[in-house]
Amino acid sequence: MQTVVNSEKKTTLTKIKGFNELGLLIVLAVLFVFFSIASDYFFTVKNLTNILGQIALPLISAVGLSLLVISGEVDISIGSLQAFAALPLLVIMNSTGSFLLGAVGAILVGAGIGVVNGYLVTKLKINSLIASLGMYYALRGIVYLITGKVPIVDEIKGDFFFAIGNMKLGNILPYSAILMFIILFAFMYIMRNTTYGRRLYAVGGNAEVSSLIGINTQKMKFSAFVICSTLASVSAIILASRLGSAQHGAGQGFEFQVVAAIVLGGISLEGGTGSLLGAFIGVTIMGIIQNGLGMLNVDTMWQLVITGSIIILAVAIDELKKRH
Amino acid sequence: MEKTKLGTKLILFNEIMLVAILILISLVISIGAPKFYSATNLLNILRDSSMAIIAGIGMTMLLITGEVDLSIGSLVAFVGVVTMDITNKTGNFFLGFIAGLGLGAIVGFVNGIVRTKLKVNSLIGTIAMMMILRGGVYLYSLAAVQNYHQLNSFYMFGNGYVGFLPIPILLMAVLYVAFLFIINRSLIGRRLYATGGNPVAAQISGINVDRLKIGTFVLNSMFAAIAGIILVSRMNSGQPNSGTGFELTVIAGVILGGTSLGGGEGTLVGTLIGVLILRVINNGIIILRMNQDWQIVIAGIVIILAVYIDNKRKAVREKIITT
Amino acid sequence: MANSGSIVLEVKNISKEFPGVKALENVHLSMKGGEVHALCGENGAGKSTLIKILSGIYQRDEGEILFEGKSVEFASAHDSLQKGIKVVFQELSLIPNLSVAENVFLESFPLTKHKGIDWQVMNSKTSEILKSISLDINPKTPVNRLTVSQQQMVEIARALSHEARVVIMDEPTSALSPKEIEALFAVIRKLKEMGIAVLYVSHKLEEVFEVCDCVTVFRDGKFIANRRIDETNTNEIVKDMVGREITTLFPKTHEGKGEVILKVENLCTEKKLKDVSFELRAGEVIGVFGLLGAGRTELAKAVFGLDPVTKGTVFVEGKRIKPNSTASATEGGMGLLTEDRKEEGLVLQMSVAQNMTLPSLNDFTSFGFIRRGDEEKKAQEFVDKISIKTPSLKQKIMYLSGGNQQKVLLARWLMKTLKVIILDEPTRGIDVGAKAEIHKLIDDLAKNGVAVLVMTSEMPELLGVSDHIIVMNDGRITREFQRDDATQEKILEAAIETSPQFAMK
Repeated sequence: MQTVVNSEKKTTLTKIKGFNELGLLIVLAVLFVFFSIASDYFFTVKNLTNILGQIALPLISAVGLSLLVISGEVDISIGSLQAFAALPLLVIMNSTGSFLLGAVGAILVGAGIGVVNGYLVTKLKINSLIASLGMYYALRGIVYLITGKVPIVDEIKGDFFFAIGNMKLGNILPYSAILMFIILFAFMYIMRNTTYGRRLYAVGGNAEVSSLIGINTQKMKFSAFVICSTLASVSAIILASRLGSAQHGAGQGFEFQVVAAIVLGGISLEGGTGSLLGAFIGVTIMGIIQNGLGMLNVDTMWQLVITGSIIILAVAIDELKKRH
Repeated sequence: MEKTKLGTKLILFNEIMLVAILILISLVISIGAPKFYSATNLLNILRDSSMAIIAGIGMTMLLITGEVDLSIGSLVAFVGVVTMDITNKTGNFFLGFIAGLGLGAIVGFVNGIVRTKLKVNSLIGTIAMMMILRGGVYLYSLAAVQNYHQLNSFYMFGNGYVGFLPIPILLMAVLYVAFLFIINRSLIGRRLYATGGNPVAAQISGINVDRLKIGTFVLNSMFAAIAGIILVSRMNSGQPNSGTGFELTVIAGVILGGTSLGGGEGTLVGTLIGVLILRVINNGIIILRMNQDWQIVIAGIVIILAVYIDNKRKAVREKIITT
Repeated sequence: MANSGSIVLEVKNISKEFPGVKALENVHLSMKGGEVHALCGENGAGKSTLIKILSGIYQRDEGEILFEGKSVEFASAHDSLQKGIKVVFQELSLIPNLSVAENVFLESFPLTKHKGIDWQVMNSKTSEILKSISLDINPKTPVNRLTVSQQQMVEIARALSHEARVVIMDEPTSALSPKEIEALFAVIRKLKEMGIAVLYVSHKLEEVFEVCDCVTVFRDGKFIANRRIDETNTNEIVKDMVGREITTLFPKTHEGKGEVILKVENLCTEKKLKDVSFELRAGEVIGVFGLLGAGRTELAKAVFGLDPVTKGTVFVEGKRIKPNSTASATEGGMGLLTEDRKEEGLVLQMSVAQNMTLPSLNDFTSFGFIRRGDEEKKAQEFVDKISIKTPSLKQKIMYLSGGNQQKVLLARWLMKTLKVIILDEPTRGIDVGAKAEIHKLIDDLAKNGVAVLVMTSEMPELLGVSDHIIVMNDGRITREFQRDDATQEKILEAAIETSPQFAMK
């Protein structure tokens, strides 16, 4: 059984523990200031609301992934899901003319994949990293097969489909950002204030004790898988809206960005720790870096390098915190 | 003793079962496409497998120690680009070869340090490295690096023959046999198994576990580098987008061949058959004129299946110990 | 409060057997409300087995459990807590990142009418409970920010939130400072006032005499005695705990006492060891005894360099061994047989021969390759010499019995020419026959001039193999004995004794 450790030692690392949200906010503030100074266009209403719209995509997925990681599992297939869930969206929308039906289709497909993932991990007891690695490839391959690597373009050109990814309320607030906030606040409430949410923390924090007190850890994890994939499919809808089509290459590398962002935001891959607020800040930090670097005309490839380095750094610090 | 029989069955299960599966799949394919059994096709399969098998040697050793490396796909691309570039700039393939191999060694070293000193789980750490390398290769060269040197040695490395044997197959065979010996009979091989099987026991017995793991990471990446150099020779240009999915074929093949993710077991023989099974499936997909995109779908399913079977095997073994 | 003085929990004729070991045989115990009942016994006496049965983790084989007069069954840990029995184990069962209040109400959070968590009610109720046991913590604090002592209190608070009638504490003070122990006693007294029955499992007799009302002693799984505290004394309890006849005398043929081979000076580790110093001579066997938490394994690992050392030095034949370096230890001629062979000793997938030769591989290596023939010859030598039962050298070690596995691990070190060998619980979980064989091997080692350090919690073994005995408690050496001066009572007293600075007022 795990021992609940940590006497009140006032070491630097214990201080880093409380670092989580406050420290991140400081980092956020510093970045803000840096980019505002470095580029004239950064600190404008237009750019800032653009950033909100940009981070809506990863944040919605990050909320779902955070729940899953907090419960002690992981899912790196959400990138492939971006392409996969766009298929029913476009196909249904094109054939019925209804964005709503298409969206429902995409979300159901997302939930279905979540069920598959949940089954693989909780019933077949396959390590979630491996299971989702397999799905990462299988889903991508199926997308290639179904589409023949040809994008499925939006033929209806309906308003709603275009709006969700591209339009702003009152020309200021992107609809995608509104959706993002609704989802974020809803799940923040759930994680903070419901038995379900607190029990997710329990399951990730100490699965043995949790099952000893009667929590069905498998069911909890299963539900987290479904939520994760469902929210990922919502992201997929927004992405498809921006691309105006279902692209077979959509979401490449997306999962790793989201993982990096939430780990940065304090959600430990071990499970049981972290908050959605932290995830939000983590995603925002990465979004600002991306936006800011773009303003400064830095290569997108550098972003890959930086993201990878951040993951290593974040996990290494996480490990240091633990070993103390 | 009853326990021995079941135990031996579990060991034999592996290699014999795998060969049986290989034969079965080959039969099925040849029914649909008789030219499967032509010498050309079989030789092609072997030559295409050579890269995965060479990388598989390194990956097998790494998995035996209980670690994994998902960055080899990106590394293959990077090595290809660098090798072509250096060969272009120096007019000397040997130097290009050394550069590529050196890059592999450095990357492996970093992976090893990240795992042993920073204590980052190797799965996550090498996923991160995969991203860094993929970004890095494009930063090194956005476009494919073309062959300006036109050196014959370069061309021969991936495309030449010694008699009727393609050089990559020869290289693979030499490395394979050498390391078969090394893993099974050398001091280092024994230490690999001990480290993966029980790191504490290994430590107590005087093995420097950290140093061993770093060395294995380095070897693994160097093997991947060799595969990358073969690839760039065959493609005749250093392409930054090459190698995607390579790590999957290799890992899936290795795990299918019986090497456990947990460490402490695995054989090169199993790896060989595992990789061949995947390659034969891929080949079958092509000559049966199925859509080539089935390849990664099937690879994804195979890796899930392989781990599932692996788990079942371990569960049966646990039962034996505790009775 | 209600029910003080009446019997709350009673166990009758409880027996429990595990493969090869009878953990409990016909024991009985009864607990009264408002009374603190101590349960004492050596390691292996059956205390923890009984607790696990009472908490629903194990199921008894025979006997009855009566709760408030009625016969009960506990299907699970959850079940026993629901019925009113709370066990506070050494390994605490709290969820690290949840707050105190959440842990206290872990099984069911108070809800608002909208089905959200009612934080106000939960926090205020928690504060009330904490106040009733004089614990001044903010209920919103995440429990992993608390000290171990505070965490224990939270566990007790959890019991109170369930209106527990029985609280069982398993070795509660092993990680506490004297002040924290006082605080714990204050809480226990409060529980008494509330009419709760407390079972205090501990080997620390001075604590038992300070806070308990009566004491039950188990020995080797059997009930020995129940006495009222004010009618007995430490000596009597110690006698109850050890009073067995030592029938088997161990063959001792070695003469011992050569040069000083191993010298340990002021060894300290971060969490346990405090200034441990001793000397070990060639051909001598020193037995290190201690009860749970004494620090025996920590000492073994620290001397061997497996665990980090904060202070102190280890010398082998006068040469300083590099701290935290197992390589330095093995080069210096030391060997270590660990306590937990499955986790730390055996490479399960490897064969008998391969496990045996692991530290000695260099002896069988030429040009980097292992000479299998020589390796097998050597392994066979030892298989014969110490009668290891295995169908073949190639047999995977996971299929051998515990005793034979241990022999293989021992052979591992016998194969080398060692100067010092450290054996941590060498006969744990092994049948009697193999035990005797291993004791003979220890004797042989000493006869050959090796310096042997044996960690053990089994008294008969200790008295049988040792020339010299070191007793540890709480990370320190409390007393040393020569073989002839040692008696079970004296040793146990030393194991229970705390150093002067920590003595209770």
